[in-house]
Amino acid sequence: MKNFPDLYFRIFSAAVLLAVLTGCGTSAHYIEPGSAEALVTISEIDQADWTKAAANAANSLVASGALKRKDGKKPVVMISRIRNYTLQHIESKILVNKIRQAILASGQAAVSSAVGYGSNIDIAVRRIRAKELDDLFNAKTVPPRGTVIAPNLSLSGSIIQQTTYKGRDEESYFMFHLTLTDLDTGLAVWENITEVAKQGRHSVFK
Amino acid sequence: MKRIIFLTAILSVSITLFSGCQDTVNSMQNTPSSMKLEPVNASCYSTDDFCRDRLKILGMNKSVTPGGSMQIQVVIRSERYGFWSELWSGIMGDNPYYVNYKFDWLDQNGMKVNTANSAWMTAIFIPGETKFISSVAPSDKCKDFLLQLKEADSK
Repeated sequence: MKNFPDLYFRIFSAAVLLAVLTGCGTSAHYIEPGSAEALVTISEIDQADWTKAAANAANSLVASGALKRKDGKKPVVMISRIRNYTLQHIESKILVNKIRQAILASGQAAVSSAVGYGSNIDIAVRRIRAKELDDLFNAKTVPPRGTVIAPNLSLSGSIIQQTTYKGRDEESYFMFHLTLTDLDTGLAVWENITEVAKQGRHSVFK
Repeated sequence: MKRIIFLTAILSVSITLFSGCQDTVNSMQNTPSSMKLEPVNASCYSTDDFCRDRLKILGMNKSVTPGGSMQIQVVIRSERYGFWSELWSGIMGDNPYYVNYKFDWLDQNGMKVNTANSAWMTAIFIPGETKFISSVAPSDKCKDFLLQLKEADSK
């Protein structure tokens, strides 16, 4: 009997603690990509950073005129390698996909899905031609060999990170560098650099 | 009486030091300029008086890029300089001033064209700083645009 008030107090305290802890979370909600609501970290490439890099590169590429050929024909761009010189695993496809879309939307060039680096190609282009001897297929409907158009231009690049610490302060600098190379001459016809710098102070208890 | 005078003096010195610690941007420009600008006539719809008063649109110009697309450049200056503005922005912790902006491009039929350009971007203004924010139309068929601006947190 003597311990009853103490027991009630403990149950009450535990209930209050649980209520506080569960009340600290927020429900899942949608945000506008690239907006101020998006999370910002110091050492990682965040959604807003990809958005900035893609918009900057797309603006520059479409404005430059590098996609326009003197003979008036539409060039074909292949997506080559985007090298990762950061300290983390990154999905550079986020950047590449936005630029692919911008190139196609501009109407100035076509993008090759037949040749390129990694997941920038569609393996169906090659696989469907392997069906010419497959009795399951009408051979006349299989795309013939020698019809795929080779690219004139190649888009490649690199993402570089430099991190600096001073006491509890951390600063990350990212450079998104993209190059468009003329495959006939091997000369770079367009380049773009987007810089992102972020700084923050870590908690004493971290 | 002496105490009131002393406190007032301390407060004045604190305010002066506090606001005096902020950096503002000073600028100079050649005159007359040799630029041949093509101004854009624009209609503005403002819902945020603070943002409207803190930023001044100095100009909105257009040009055609070598790629054939239209380019828009908006020149904006932060008007948050001067004693009271700097004091207030220092107290509120919004110096520098963060602004989000987004360009949307419309085709001949008034339909929005989705592209990498149409995303919220952040511009950071130091008091008195002039920024040039620009966007290129996703294709040469897009001639109309909508620019939206809003204050952002400095997180």
